[in-house]
Amino acid sequence: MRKKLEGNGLWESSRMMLPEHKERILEVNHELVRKEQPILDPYKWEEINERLSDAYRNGEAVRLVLWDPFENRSITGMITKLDVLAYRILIAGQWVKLSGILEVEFA
Amino acid sequence: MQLYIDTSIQITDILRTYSDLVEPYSIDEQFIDITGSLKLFGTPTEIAQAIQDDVRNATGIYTRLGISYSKVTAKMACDLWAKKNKDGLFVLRKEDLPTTLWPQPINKMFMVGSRMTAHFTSMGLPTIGHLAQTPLAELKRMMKKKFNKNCDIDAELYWRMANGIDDSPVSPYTHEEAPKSVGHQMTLPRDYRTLDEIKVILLELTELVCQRCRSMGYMGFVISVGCQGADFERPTGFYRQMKMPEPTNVTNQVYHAAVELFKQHWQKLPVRKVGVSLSQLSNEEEYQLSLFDERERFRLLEKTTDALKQKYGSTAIMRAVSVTEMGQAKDRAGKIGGHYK
Repeated sequence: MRKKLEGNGLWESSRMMLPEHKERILEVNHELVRKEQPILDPYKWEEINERLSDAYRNGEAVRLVLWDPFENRSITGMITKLDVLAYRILIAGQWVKLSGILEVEFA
Repeated sequence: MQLYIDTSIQITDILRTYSDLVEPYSIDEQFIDITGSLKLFGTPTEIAQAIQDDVRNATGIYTRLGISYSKVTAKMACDLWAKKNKDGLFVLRKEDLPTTLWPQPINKMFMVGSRMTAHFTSMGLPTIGHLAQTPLAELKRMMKKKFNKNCDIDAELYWRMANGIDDSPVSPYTHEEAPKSVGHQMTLPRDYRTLDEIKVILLELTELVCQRCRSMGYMGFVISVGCQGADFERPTGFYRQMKMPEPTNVTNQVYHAAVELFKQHWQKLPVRKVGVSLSQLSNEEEYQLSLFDERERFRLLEKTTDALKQKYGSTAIMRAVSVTEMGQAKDRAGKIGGHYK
């Protein structure tokens, strides 16, 4: 149980908030953490490409860090297909665009 | 009402240009911590004036600001002085509490309503200063005697406020914390007198509560039901709770519990306000299976009705009783906080 005498307890227990207002506050707060996609250095690009093709050729599992405007996510698995024309790879059953990859680590 | 919410958010945005520590406290009150902004924007009073100007220019609204070293004193600075003086600003300093806050009658203190005013007055504490200067241990003893139960936490809360002690931080993300309960209440357009009529409202409220729980992924273990008569001077009604056999967010299950609870405590008096809430919330993904569990079956159905409501509005699919004369769901769907959108 959150206590009235600790932290923000006094104000959390006393405030009158419309659910619709709270919902908007959460939406706005969520938007505040939206970030732009970083532009990767050409060397970084090269590294990503090399690691991807190594992993594909050797059948090694990798962990990819994928860009997201709110929270980057990661995906781990083996690369089973390379689609060079569409700039995408099939990893752990999911198609991932190369342009969204920020990091490749050998798992 | 939507305009009030939009404007409130707009003002939050303006405050954020002065500090990232902004906490909306209600539709028309917000806290801002400018400790880290003083070097950039000037003295607290200068910043407050700039905020007043910015908000007035952007929205046409005249804001009043209480300036102080803590949230509770800022709130009282605003309510007691800034709202009443000409420039809408007031600075309440810690060292000035004995000469400013303490002479004020006890009913001016934050969180002291008419009932507590009567209690404190009868305890020989007519002003905030009297309360502040009572040793805490003594106050705890006095309140315990007065209310015939241990009130240590409340005693300390009042005592701290009277002394201007409040270490709670301005918390921008306070609204992201998981709620302790999910509830809805409704003031009815007329007195409802029979159980059949009231059951319609209980069902509609339960539906709203459960729907919100489902959308947040919670189940509730404890159901609370309350009602109130029309005459607020002579209050009638009750507010009671009970534990259900298992945590749930299935409307039908919660509704049956709500009706049972209501029948137990209702004294057949006319009712003007009804509330239903669920507490002891838990994650709906994790629960103990029981032998005659119907939740899974209901869950599928309610997922569908919830999706319909989300897509086409909350009146897209309704319980049949809601279209009777007793039903309020349709009217309520057009309102926010009891006011038309």
